[in-house]
Amino acid sequence: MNQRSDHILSAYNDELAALAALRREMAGITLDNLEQARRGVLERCVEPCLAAIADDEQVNRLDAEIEASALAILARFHPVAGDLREVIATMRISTNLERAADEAKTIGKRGRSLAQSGATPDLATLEPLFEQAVAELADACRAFDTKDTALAATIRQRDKDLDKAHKAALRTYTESLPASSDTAPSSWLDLLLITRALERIGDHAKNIAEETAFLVGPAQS
Amino acid sequence: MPQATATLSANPSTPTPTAEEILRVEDLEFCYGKSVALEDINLSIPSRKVTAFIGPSGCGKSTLLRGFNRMNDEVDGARITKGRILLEGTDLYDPSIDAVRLRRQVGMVFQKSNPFPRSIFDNIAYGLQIGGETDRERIREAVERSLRQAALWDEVKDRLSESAFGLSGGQQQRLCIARAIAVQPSVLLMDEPCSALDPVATARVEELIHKLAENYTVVIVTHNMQQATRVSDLTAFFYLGKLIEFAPTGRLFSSPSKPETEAYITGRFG
Ligand SMILES: Nc1ncnc2c1ncn2[C@@H]1O[C@H](COP(=O)(O)OP(=O)(O)OP(=O)(O)O)[C@@H](O)[C@H]1O
Ligand SMILES: [Mg+2]
Repeated sequence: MNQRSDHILSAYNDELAALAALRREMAGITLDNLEQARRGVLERCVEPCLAAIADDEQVNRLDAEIEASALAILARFHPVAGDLREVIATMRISTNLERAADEAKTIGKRGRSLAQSGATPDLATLEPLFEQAVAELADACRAFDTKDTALAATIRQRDKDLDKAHKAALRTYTESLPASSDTAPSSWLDLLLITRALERIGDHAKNIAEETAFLVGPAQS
Repeated sequence: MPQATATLSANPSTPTPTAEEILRVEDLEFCYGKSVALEDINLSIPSRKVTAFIGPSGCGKSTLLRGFNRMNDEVDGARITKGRILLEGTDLYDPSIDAVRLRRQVGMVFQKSNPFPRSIFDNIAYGLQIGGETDRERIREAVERSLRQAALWDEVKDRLSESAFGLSGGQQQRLCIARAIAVQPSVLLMDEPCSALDPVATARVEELIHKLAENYTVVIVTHNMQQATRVSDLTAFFYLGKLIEFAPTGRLFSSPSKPETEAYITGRFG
């Protein structure tokens, strides 16, 4: 007996599979948006920033779709045990992805502003932050998809590291602000807001990672 | 789901006793002739709670339920081959136990409502009279009290002398519950009490079961999983004659600890 085997009721099975597909699609688009925003910021390029801003709408739509389909499953099939936990976890993940995509949109907006400003601010500090935040979110989503509790368990510490890097970045910026002459004050603000957005994306990744243990639950095969 | 149970512990953990225990099953093995219907059953049923038995057909739910008031005594070759069942600490199968009196203390309601071909009033009074009650006024009071407790009084108070067969299926089922509680049992056993009822009648009986738990211990067998989640405080899952998992209902249906339970309640069996 395999608890991953199909449900006897095929309509129920199909609805659960459709919900999981929506979740994966939403995670994919959110990660894409973040990737676009990263390129836009680091390469000082407006186009990808605009994509991250525009595609946030798609994530919002998927969030609403996931909610509607989760509610329909609850009403029609009364899921229990692992199925119930999967539906609940998916709703919470959807909320976190929606917010992470909002942060990607913020990064896109700030990236656009940076790209349009004449100055060349310090982007080197941001690069590792992007690296960590994107990897954290991608791994959190993958851990849930593959029920990889070991991978999910690594996220907590990685998010602490991201927090530290975030604080260090803020320090770097505030210390170098008075010394720097060729960076406009608005660009410094852009950098600070991007840093904060990345830190928040890490928080959402951490929340998503926690859903893996919840999904797997106590049943031991 | 073959052999999966072989690796399971013989003693699925009993939920932390928040309430007083009324029924206790110890190392029970039960056979029909040579075939084993129940084995290694250990179970503690708390007083004034609703405990549901779930599991696939033939897993032994009814057998165990009938063991609680010795209804199996009537079946040829049916017997306990190991262990015991205790009601408030007393071994139910002790030779000194009067099975007829036991069945008054541990009442039973069946799947198909089975009123006698008598008036509504007599259906309830009958059990009291058999029990030796002769005082007409006390009988009348007991009939009214049971009908009220069974949430049927308002619907039948003006037709008590009419035949019980004139009632709807749902009303007949509540009449049978009234009949069972008229003799003031401490435990009420129900074997699929709603399977012949429509959703509204089912909801009424479920509401009644919930209320009954204020005064009685209810043990209910049901194939309707949603019913188990709605009415019971605790759920026991049986499979192939074994108790696989016994836990508070909310926990069993949200986070079961055994894969067999998970597979069965999510409908991924076989
Ligand atoms: N009177 C009997 N004589 C012989 N075997 C019996 C008798 N009653 C039940 N059994 C057997 O004992 C096992 C348990 O039966 P039981 O009726 O307790 O199952 P159950 O869980 O109540 O099933 P259902 O959900 O179908 O009512 C089954 O294998 C059944 O065939
Ligand atoms: Mg049965």
